[in-house]
Amino acid sequence: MRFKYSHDVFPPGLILPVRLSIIGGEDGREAKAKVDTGADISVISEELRKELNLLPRGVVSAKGAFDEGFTPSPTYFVKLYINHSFSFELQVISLPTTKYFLIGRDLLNQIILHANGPAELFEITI
Amino acid sequence: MKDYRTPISKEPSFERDSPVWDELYKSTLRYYAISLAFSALEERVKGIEESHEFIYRNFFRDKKVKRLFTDGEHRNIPMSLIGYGCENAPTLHVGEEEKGWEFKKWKEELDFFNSIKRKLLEDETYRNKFVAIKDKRLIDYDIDNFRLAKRVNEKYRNEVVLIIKAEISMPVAEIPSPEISI
Repeated sequence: MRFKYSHDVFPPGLILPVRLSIIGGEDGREAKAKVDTGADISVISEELRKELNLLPRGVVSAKGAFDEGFTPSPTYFVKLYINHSFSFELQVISLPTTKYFLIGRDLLNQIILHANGPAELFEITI
Repeated sequence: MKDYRTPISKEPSFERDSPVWDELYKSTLRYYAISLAFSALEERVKGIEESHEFIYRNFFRDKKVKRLFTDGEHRNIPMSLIGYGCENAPTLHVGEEEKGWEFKKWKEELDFFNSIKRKLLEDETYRNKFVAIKDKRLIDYDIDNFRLAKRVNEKYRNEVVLIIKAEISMPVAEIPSPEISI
């Protein structure tokens, strides 16, 4: 699956359309997901979490970029579909400060990702 | 030091829990975060501490803000506000308790798990397995957390159930990716 870099972010980034739903549920939502190799765990926006009516299920000690210390944070179980063909079950955290679903290394380590910055193209192989 | 802030001299007259108060609270904190950054840029340490104290005095006592700046954040405030975007800065300081009933419930279940953690670790049935806790009772367990989550969602879709591994340490995750607003 090939995608173009998105200019919705600066510098242009690796953003792709995905579908998210609760594990074991059929109802889902379309979303934009941004590849984030720096994130240990994937992140759902608080807005989307509310739309999907996801309730806290797990816990992880999470820390952001600004030295605010590790804090026990709720996690949520979601199913993510890429291109309506491939699905991944993920345990994610929620942040109010992002509008994207951030694809962290918990998912990235399950796929092959080729990014061609100068050509602004990236490819995902399952 | 040139002070860009204008202290609030009066208490607001409307209800603290009203939407109006929430909006005022957010915009005020955002304003102070921005002015704090400007002040702190001119005189780094004094500006930060002074502004911090002001915000603490005016907001923390209302328990609207559960925590403000840690020592680490203190040092990094100008950088983080500018780098992170001033709009986003206040959200860093709002506690989980502000989010709703589900987080209170989640915290209760987590506290219960911590209280029985030693027993779970001593029991081979549960050690290093994922357990599901609801209403301070252990209701299910599995070696696979996603399989357990599916069962839990089928039975308790709209209820808070904690799914956590019975192991000594809590999993740790870093999400160190700042975004630039354009």
